[in-house]
Amino acid sequence: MGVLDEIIKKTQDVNTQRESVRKALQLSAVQYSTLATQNQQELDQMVSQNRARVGAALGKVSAVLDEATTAHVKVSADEVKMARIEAIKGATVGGLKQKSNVGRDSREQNKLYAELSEQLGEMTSEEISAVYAAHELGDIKGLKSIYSSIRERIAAKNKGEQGLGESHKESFAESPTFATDNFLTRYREKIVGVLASSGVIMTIPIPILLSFFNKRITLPSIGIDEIFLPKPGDVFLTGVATYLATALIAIVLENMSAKKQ
Amino acid sequence: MNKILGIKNIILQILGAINYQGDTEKAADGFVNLILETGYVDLLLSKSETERALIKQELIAVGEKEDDVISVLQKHFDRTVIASTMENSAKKVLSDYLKEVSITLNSAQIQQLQELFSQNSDS
Repeated sequence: MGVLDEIIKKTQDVNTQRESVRKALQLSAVQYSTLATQNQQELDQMVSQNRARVGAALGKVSAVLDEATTAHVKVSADEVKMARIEAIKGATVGGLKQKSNVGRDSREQNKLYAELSEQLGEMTSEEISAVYAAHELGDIKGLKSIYSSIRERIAAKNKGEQGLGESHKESFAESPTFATDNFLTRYREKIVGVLASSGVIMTIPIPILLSFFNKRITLPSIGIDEIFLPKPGDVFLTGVATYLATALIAIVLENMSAKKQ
Repeated sequence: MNKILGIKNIILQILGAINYQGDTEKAADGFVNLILETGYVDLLLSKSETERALIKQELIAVGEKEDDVISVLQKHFDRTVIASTMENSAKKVLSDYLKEVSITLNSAQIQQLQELFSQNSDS
């Protein structure tokens, strides 16, 4: 029963009692008034107690709201940081594409990402803005200079506690491992973007997708179900491998041609 | 070995050939997930917006019950299309990856990849 219901019921009880007492005892106006006052005091006391209870409950709600607000502010700050990273990454791609001489150079791009990922946590908001502006303009020289000054500032601040050495960092940014991790992250972001922009595609958990594609497929080339096998009979795998063998040759030739230019 | 494990196996071999230094199992699973999700998105995008909305409605209605979700999808997609989409998404994701990683590879690693694909190919 809610607080209001309790009060209404108590009021009704009191009125009933008043009426029955007055009728049964044929009380005088003064006697009745005294009794009524006593009942009123009892009622007031109950209302007062209920107010205290409601007040305490409101206090708890307020505390919860404060906590939620604090958490929200924290999340928002993180979101802002992530949005900045994404904006910078996006601008990097755009900026690099604008510069025809580096437009195809993923190595340059990877280096900048590595630099960005490593330093972002230490950057001030002014530095982030400067980096963003340089990325947006595709100002690679400016960008390197900003990163360099940030590096020096952090190095001075940490007094020798700087992490990876420069040469190690450069080689990591150019490594297959970095390129692989970078690819996995960005491709996933791309899919999430497509899902978000499509509006009507519902996300399905990976295990269900796995089951859907894995168990229910008819192999197109031979038109039969459930042929999941090791080589050499796996048409699906051989089809993919054949395609990749050809693709790799084309990619290598393209890279060689880009280097010559 | 089933189809997905087969693809994962090839991916693990690719990661081995390029001397990937991270958690290879995790990275291979990452690629498999990308292939699955790309396939799913491509399947859905092959339908009109009205049909996609209908599929979404039906998926919401069945929740996350695996068999029901699969039934909904099967109702809307031809099985041959499902298979070819999956194959195409594997080709697309892995060739996009090769484009990116190739510039960081030395000639021995490229050679290893070429041998790997040749061993598994049908030509």
